[in-house]
Amino acid sequence: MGYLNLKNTCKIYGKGELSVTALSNVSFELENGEFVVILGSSGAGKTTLLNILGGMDNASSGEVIVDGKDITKLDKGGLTEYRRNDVGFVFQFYNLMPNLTALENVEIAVEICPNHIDPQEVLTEVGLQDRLANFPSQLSGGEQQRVAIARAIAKNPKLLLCDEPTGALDYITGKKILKLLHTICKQRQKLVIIVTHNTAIKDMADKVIYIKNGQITKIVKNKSPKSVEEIEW
Amino acid sequence: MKTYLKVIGRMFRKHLTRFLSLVFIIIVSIGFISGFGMASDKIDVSLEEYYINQNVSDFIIKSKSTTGFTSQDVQTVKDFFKGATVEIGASIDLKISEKYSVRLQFVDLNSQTVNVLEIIEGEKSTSSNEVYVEQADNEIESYEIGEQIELNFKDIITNFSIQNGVEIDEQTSNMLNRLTPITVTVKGIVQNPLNIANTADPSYNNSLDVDMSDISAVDNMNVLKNIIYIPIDLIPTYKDVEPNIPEELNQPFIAMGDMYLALEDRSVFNAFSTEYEKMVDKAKIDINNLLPEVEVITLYQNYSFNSLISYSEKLTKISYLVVAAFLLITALVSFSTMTRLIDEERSQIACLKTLGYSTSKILFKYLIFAFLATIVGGVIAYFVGIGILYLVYEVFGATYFMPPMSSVVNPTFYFVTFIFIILGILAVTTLTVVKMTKEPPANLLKPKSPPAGKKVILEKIPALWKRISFKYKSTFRNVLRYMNRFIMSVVSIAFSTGLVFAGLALLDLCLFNGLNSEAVIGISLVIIVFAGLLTAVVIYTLTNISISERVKEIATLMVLGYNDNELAGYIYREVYINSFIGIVFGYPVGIILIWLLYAIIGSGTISGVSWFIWIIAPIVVLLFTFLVTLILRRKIIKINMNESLKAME
Repeated sequence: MGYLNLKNTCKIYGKGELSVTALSNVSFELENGEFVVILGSSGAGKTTLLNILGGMDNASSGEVIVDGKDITKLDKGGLTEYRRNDVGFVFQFYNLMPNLTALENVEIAVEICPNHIDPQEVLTEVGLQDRLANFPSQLSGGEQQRVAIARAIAKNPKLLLCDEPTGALDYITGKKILKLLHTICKQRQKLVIIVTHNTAIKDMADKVIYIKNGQITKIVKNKSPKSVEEIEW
Repeated sequence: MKTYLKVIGRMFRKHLTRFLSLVFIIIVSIGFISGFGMASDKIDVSLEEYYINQNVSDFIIKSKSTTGFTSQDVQTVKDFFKGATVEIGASIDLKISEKYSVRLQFVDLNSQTVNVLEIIEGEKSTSSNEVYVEQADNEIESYEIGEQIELNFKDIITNFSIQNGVEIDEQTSNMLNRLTPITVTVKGIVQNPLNIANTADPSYNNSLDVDMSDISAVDNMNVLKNIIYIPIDLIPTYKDVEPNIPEELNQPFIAMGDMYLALEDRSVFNAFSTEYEKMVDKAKIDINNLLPEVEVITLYQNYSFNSLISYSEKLTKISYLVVAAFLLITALVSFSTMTRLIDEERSQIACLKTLGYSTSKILFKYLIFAFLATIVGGVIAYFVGIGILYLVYEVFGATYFMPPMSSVVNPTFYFVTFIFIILGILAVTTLTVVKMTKEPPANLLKPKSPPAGKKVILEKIPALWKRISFKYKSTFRNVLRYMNRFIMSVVSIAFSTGLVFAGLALLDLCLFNGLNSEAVIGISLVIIVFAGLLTAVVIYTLTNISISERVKEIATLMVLGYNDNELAGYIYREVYINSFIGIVFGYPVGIILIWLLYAIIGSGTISGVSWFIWIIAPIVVLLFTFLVTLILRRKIIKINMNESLKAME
């Protein structure tokens, strides 16, 4: 039994004839410290899966067990609690608070989270020790994404979910961000899940989950993942 | 075209609450402004109609001679003032104490042409020993229908002579002694059009030189406790006690000392114009030339007339004052509602523009929104205004026996404010859209980055900044970040708080500081209610805008695991800070408004305002803030975090 365990997870939107199945019978097991890529074209159900993993949406049926706890049984308050303590998110468009400095953007996340890591320490780890007092508008895209990553890991979450983290970044910056995520995954032994349609990224993953029409088509374990430097897109 | 219309329809559905709050603020403010503003005009016009209907005399001419007026005098006056109505009668104001008198007014009850009494209760008198009495009010006691009153003319005439220092010769005295009292029956309770104030009606036992335009003068005057209207035929004559007296020597014991003159040309009697005043001055001189040894009493010396007109004038001035404040707030809030709407639809505007839609077509979409909101609000406001008009009129009814309300409507106030708002809102909408469409679509398509964060002044004082909790730091920054909106919120809240202060202070003046005017109480209540409503809708609109603007930030916090209370707190801390600062500035605004109001009313001082008024107004505003935050909480916690985190919109 893995650290993250999905069993026959389904997500159906709507009711009766108008219902749309976004996920059907999704099952997989992931371990701590794994660098996982969920790959699929748009509309495949990636975002729905990510939302369910992140406690932003409820599954219609099946189980989602995180560290021994089935989050599909949680009510609204329980899901909030789960997002607060157990999940770190990294978004395509960073979603930083524009009125807070880099440091404060991290602080706002950890403030409500008991087992957090010192924000300054995490920002140093992502290479922003000199930009602590800058507002998002004063940072480049890559720097903003670093703040977002720092915000996610400072919570010391059980899993780190990244939705197209390089989608809004240029090639070189994107690679740096992937490297950072990979480093964090291995050094801190976190389960990092990256959702993307960028097939190049799959080569650096420990595990690749292919998703199509709401179903898992295959799960591939990479025996020898490439380093970021080796991949290209 | 069909799709274009669909886009317009969607906008209305998406921004329904915004549309409704725009409609609501227009209803509240234009409704209040027009109703309040029209009221004093309505009072003037109604009073004028009433005066014309009852043919109120422009002049009461009192003879100084003991023999009074003759029919020859009537003819003289009639000949001079062509078409005038002239009647003679007598009145005896018997003092019953230093403060009170009873008036016996002798008139031709069955064929009255001037100052026609309006029968409120009972019937027309049919026989000569039936009388009318004035209806009861705060001072007048009145009688019951069918009640019998004994008229002892011997005592009446004797006492009246003593009261006025007139000697009665022995012969008359002998005759008086032979008069027997007569009993009359109250047949009707009436309203004298000259005595419509129910607070006091001064008797003739006061100096005529008192300046009645100072209506508080009545407090020190001798006032009437009763008015009995007695047929002239009942005045005893010498013949009643000396049947053999020759006809030419016979005369009534009470002379016809009053002449009532209503001029023909009532068209100048037009809302108490200066023309009328001029005419009165001229006629007064003419009367004194025609009839020597008379005193001429004009409407300007009538207490009811003066006090009603004076309150009506005060109402007009108060209207101008509060209307200005209402208009300012409405303009600020409705204009910013439109600019925010357009700002939020930035990317849609860009999209339409890249598709080749003309600026005018894009503009039309927003103009129709603003136009419909203003029209819908404006039409409803008209009826609300009429309602307020009736309310204010009723309120005056507590102090005056108000004449029936005139059906003449003078909607100047309504149209002026309505046109101001509609033109303003359309102009602001046009400017905002045109300015936006001038930007290249490429720029527009990029989401407008929210205003960048900035350091606030407080941060320069680290000792203080460090002590502020993190949540508040973010709040302070936000306040600074949206400086324009912050200023607008503070100004709107300050003015609405100021209005609540003003309404309360006016009420305070009446309830606790000795201004005994129920009309002012009513006015203050109307102001308090509408200032309160305005405050609530202002806070609602501003908070609503605040939430719409921060949807993405709220969604981010949701994803980070902030719970409902923490999310609401993020927006509401700012709302409360705005309210709080608004209230603080509401004090100076309130003080100025109160000062102006008191000057208009001619009573009260700022230092005399009860201390609790300075606490109640802020509590009211905070209560409204609390209610609004309670209502809008749902809107915050229902934000969909998935939708909100997508790229652009």
